[in-house]
Order: sequence, then structure tokens, then C-alpha cells
Amino acid sequence: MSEKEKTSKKQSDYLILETEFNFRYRIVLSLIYNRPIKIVKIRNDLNEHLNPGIAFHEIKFLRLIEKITNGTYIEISQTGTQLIFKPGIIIGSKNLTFDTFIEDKEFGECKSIGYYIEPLLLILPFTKHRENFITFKGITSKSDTKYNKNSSDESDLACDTLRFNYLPLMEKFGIMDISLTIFKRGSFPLGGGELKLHTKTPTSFTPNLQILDPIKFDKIMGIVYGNRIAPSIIQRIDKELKRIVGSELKMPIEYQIMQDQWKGENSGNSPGYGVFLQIINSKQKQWSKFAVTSEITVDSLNSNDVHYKIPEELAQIATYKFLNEIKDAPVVNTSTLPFLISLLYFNKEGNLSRLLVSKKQITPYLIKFLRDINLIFNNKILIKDLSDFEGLDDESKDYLVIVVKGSGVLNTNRKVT
Amino acid sequence: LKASKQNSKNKKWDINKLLYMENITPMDVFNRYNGLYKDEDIEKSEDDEEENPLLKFKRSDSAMKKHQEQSVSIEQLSKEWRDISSIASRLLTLPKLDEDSD
Repeated sequence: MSEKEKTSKKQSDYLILETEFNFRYRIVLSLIYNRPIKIVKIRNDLNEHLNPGIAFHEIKFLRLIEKITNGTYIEISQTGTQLIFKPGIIIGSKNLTFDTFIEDKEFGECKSIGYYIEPLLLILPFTKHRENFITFKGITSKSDTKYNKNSSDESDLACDTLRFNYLPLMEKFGIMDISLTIFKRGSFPLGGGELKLHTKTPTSFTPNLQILDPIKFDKIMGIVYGNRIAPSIIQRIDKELKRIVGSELKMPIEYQIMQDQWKGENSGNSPGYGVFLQIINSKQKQWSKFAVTSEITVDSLNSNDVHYKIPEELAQIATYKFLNEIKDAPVVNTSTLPFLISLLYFNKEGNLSRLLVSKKQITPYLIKFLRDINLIFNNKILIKDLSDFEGLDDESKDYLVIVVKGSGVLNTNRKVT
Repeated sequence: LKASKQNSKNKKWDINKLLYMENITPMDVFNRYNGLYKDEDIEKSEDDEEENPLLKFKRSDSAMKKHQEQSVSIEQLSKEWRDISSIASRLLTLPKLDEDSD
């Protein structure tokens, strides 16, 4: 065989994907499906990106993947615009401490811990170790000044969203004994927060879901948190939240808002505060794990932002954002959809799941994600009109159904006894 | 000609066909499905692809990124949520309309 033929065969072994979009999910899906990928054109347009090539937080994420796997081969080109990822065996870790903090800001943006945990939650059910303990250090919540509900793959998830939105979803699908504990809260830019993630590899993992009606809710829960700030700020936000939800909204709904103040050593290196809101169904068991959530954080760098001049304004914008999210999300948030679809995709081969989404939730980001799944798994996820299903009324014209066919991915890393 | 243009405007796109079409970017899929496109744009893009098939690869995802970065003002947010009825229908504890009429 000539050298040219050898190289062309080598190249064909890799699935070639373009641009840096959906970076974390591509790596995760490649790892679970055990398919080598080559990502090209990573921030290669100099007109758009001041720092071309792979970003430092992406390299951090790859380092984390390297630590919990064995035999993973990663090659980054000299310019940083190309990446070869050859997945190894997912081992997991019983005692790993991972520092997500990036000291030199010139190399990239410092991401919150949630950026690393979100894709990791999908990998951990497939580990060789029965139990995993990982401690993360860095920023627990970071402000997002764009207020965009159509979260992108670059989003900074806050720890409360992970605890109350993502973990219950995993429990719903049989991944029990999973916990995320906050030991220290740390805000942007200096961080200093600490989270501990504990998971157990499930013996059986068969996510299956049939939701064709929007979920009804009956309880609003919220957390107003702050670290290294005056307690009066938290109290003012809390008071305004209760005023809007309780009196202005005029709706017969139970609400419960808690204050979470962090002081001293456990409050990180930078001051910050924020609001986390979620609406749940506490009465019906089949819907109890689903929640529509919204979170806004203010950190010391963005405290002079026009929108957050006073704590009352933060409470208002948090509530508005939250109510808009409820309006558009029949089951889960727009930003949680890729995570939920990934979980559904790990179903037994051929098993069908149906998930209701609103038309507003079909965002370019979700489209890109579905295309990536099609490329990596070679399986199309379809979106159908509700009219295709029987017995549904006219009110459902704003909704669509995502039909996910299980891929039958197995945990091959654990020894079968 | 007018009628054909009108028909193309009213045409309901099949999301599944659009979703995995190789020639168009996710942002184009989003726009076409939501009716945010112009006929001229489609004609132009189709012509371009016919002329030079390599053009489709050159389309970056900048449009998608710009869409994601669009900020929403407080005023806009506060106006949207005023439509309480849409949220009220999602609540379990709301009394049924039939009971009210009785």
C-alpha cells in the first residue's frame, strides 16, 4: 500500500466535523459511541475571532476528559484550528480534584463549573468505576448579561440549575444516587468556589418518555443567594420577588423563596449574588422531576451593568425571564433540551420516546445539535406535528413532538459478572 | 408570477426535510421554518449553489452566533409576560372555566 493510500485511509477513520459549535457534546457523543472525530475550522475566521483556534476553556474540558478516561488520544494542530479526538475507555474517578479556574485571561474566558459538569453528567453513567467522586474548584455561578434563553453551547450553567434541573432529570431515567454538593460559592472573576459531584453507575439505564401534553405546574420555588455581600441586598431581592409573584401576578399558586447567604471562608474570592427560580409539579409523580427554571447571577465585574442598578430590578428581570420561559417551555427549558434528548437517545435500541416542545424551542442551536447526532450516530431524530398524533385539541398547534429512537448504547466499560 | 410568489410565501416547510438538508445552515432552517425569509434570498442562494457548489461549505455559522447573542431588553421582557393567560393555562391549581360559568 502506498503512503498516499495509507494517509487517506487514516483520514477516513475520523468523522470530520466543522467549526467549534457544540464542542462539548461532540466530544461526549464521540466518547460514548467510541467514534474518533476530527474537528476542523475551529475559530478559523480572523474577521470574527480575535483569538483563532481552540479556546483555553475547551482545552480544560479536554484535560478533564483525559483524566476520567484511559487511552484517549488528543491531537491539536499548531494553529489550534484542528483537533483530532480518538476516544478511549471511560474509567471515571474515585478521588479527582479538578480546578476549572483559568488564571491568565489572555488565553480565554474563564467558564463556570457548570460548563464542565453538564456534559460530564452524560458520561458518568458509562464509567468503569461503580462510584465516582469528583471535586470541582472555580466559579460556581457567573453572570450572563445577554439574557438569552436560547442558550448556546458556550453557556455558563450555574450550580443551582444543575442541582434542581439536571439531576432530577437523571433520576427520572434511573440514574439514582447522584448528588452535587456546594461547599463554597465563588463568583466571577476570582472564583474560589467548590462543588462535589458524586454519582453511581446505574445497573440498568433505560430512559423512556412519552409526553404529548404540556406539563401543569403548581409550585414556584426560588433561591436568592449571595456571597461576600451585604445581607440587605438579598433581603431586598427576596421582598421584591415575593411582591411580584404574590401580588402582581395574581395567580393561585404556591410559592416558596429561600435566602442563601455565604460568609467567610466559604464565600469565595469575589462578591456576587443571584436569583434562581423554578416551577414544578409537586402533586403528580410522573411529572415531579421536570421543572422549568431560570437563573440570573450578578458578579462583581458586572455589578455596574445598566440592568442591575438596584436589587429590585434584578428581581424584576429574573421574574420576567422566568415567566417567559414558562410560556415557551411545555416540558423543560430550551437550554436543557440537548441534554434531555441525549439521555433519551441512550434508550434501548428501537425504543421510541416522544417529547413535546414548543415551536419557539426549535432554535438554530438545537438544529445544529440534532445534525451532530445524525452525523455521529448516523441516526435521524425526527420532529413531528402534533396533528400526527390522535386525540389532541386545537390548542396544541404551537407545539411539536421530537421523536427519539433509542440507539442502544451499552456500558461496555464495566465488567459483566 | 404573483400567484406563484404568494404560494411560495404561504408554503409550509416540512421541518424534517429542512433539518437534515445539507445545503443550508441551521440559521437558514430556523428562518425558513419560521417564515422569516424572502423569496429573493432563496432564489439567490439556489443560484449561488448551482454556480459554485463549494460556496455552501464556505457559509460560516456567524449568523447563528449573532442570533444567539441578541440581547433582550427589560421592556421587551416585561411586555411579553403580560400575557398572563398563556401562563395561567399551565397552572394545575387554576379553577376550571366551566365551574366559573356555572
